[in-house]
Parts: sequence; structure tokens; C-alpha cells
Amino acid sequence: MTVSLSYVNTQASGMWDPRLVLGWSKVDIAVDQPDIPPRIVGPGVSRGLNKTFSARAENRFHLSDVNTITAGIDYYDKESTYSDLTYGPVTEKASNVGLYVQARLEPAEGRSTSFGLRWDDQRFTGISGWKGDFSGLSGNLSLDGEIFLTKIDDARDRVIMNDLESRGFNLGLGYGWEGGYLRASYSQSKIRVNGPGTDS
Amino acid sequence: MDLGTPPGGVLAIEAQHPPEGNAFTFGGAVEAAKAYNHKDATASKTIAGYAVLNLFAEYQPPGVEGLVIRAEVNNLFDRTYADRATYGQDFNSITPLYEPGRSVQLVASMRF
Repeated sequence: MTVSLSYVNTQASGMWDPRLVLGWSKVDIAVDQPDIPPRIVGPGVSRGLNKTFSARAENRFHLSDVNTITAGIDYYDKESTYSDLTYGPVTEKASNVGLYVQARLEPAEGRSTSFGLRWDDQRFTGISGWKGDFSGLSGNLSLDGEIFLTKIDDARDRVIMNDLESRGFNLGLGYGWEGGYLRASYSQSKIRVNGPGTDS
Repeated sequence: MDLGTPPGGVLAIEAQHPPEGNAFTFGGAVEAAKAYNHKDATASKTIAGYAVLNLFAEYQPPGVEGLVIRAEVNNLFDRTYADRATYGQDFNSITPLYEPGRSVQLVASMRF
């Protein structure tokens, strides 16, 4: 069973665009583990019960139509319990609080970049009762480019008809200054003929 | 199968900069391709990766409007390589068309 509530104003702009998500889920799975004669005695039923609560609150700052900075906090609390005829029940728990900032910028038409930073603190309780508390910072950077897919049906190679497909992406990054520049591009592509890859 | 070459991953980096207060511009470029580790269809081998460095320097004499003297070294490390889009690199029986080894050019051009 899953229940989730979310709030977002799709018309929002400017410096006030709060978003809120709350979620609860409870998943109970039981799998029969029958005996397999003559040697294996099954453990009856394997049962796993997972309960999760999660929440996220953030605000999106619209610097312009295409440039935004999002800052927020998220949280989850999970508890998993396992049992069968011969083992358990055993339970482990994890909870995590995260603070994050993420910028999505479009410096030029069709070129978008995204980078962000987050700090997480996770508290974990293992099945033995062992407790751990871990925290740390993490960052991310992504540059969007183009993704391409070209399909050609019935291309003739002598008397054989072939279907071709070329797919991949191009990433570009450029920075210019008075009289100088740095440009980098990366292209990854794959060509397939009649399904699998091909030779040249 | 004569219908396409498998290019894999290809990287290009290019930069130039004119240090302030003199008439020179310096620049360079890296052309590189990742190793292509697939052997599809009737290919007999995988394709090794490569990286090539090109450098140049340009001089614009302050006294002569429009004159540029450019010295460049391409493939500085004299790598033997074929451009990734060149046909036949994935067959033992074919020697692909290699790109030029280390080459040095001195070019004077005048715009008027």
C-alpha cells in the first residue's frame, strides 16, 4: 500500500515556488518455500515487510524562465523485517536527512547545465542491534547535449535489404574570454545493422 | 557490411589564448578516440584508442595590418593512427588509411 501527497503550484514563478511531497508505503511480501524432496526442507514461508516514510520540502527560485536554483530538505525512514520458519524475525532500520541545492541553467539555447551539492546524514540500525551514523557531502555536475537516433529501413547492400540504426549523444562545453576560448566536445555513437552491432 | 563505421567515443578539445601585451596567440587541440572493444558482424579485431596533440603559435606583427604568421605542429608525438571514421580498421586483412605523422607548417597570410 502506498499513499503519497504532493503540493506544487505549476503556475509559480519568481522567488516563491514551494514544493512538498509526503509518502508512506507498506509492502508485505510472502513467498512459499516448499520442501524439495528428498533432501531439502524448505523454510515454510519467507516473509518480508517493508515500511517507508519519506518527505521532501523545497523551494525553486526562478532566476528567469529557464534558469532555476532549487534548495530543499528531504527525509526518509525505512524499516524492513524478514522472517521464515527457521529464522527471524529480524529487523533493520535506516533513516536519512538530506539538505540540497541544485542549479539548472541554460546559458545558451538548447545547452543546459545542472550542478548541485547535497549533505546527507544517515542513521542505520542493523539486525544485530548495531547502530551507525554516517554523514557526508556530495556534488554533481551534468551538461546536457544532444541525443540522436537515426533509423533507415531497407538500405540496399548489393541484393540484401538492411535496416540501420545509429544512436548516440554529443556533449559540448565551451568557455570564451577576451581573444581566447576553450572548447571540448565528446561524441558517443553506436551503429546497428539488422539488430546487432556491425563492422565497418 | 559497408553500411556504416562503428565510431564509438570520440573526444575533441581545443583552446587558444593571446597573452596580454604581446602579438602572439598560442593554442592547441587534442583529438582522441576511445578504444572500441566490440567485434561485431564479420569484424576480426577491436580498434585501439588514440590521442593526438596539435599545437600552434601565431604572430601578428604590429607594424603590418592584416599579416599573420602561423607556425603549427600537428601530431606532435608522431602517433600512427587512423581517424576513427576511416574504413577497415576492424579487419586484420586491411591496412587503413593512416593520418599524417608529425607535420610542421609555417604559414604567412595577409588579409587586405
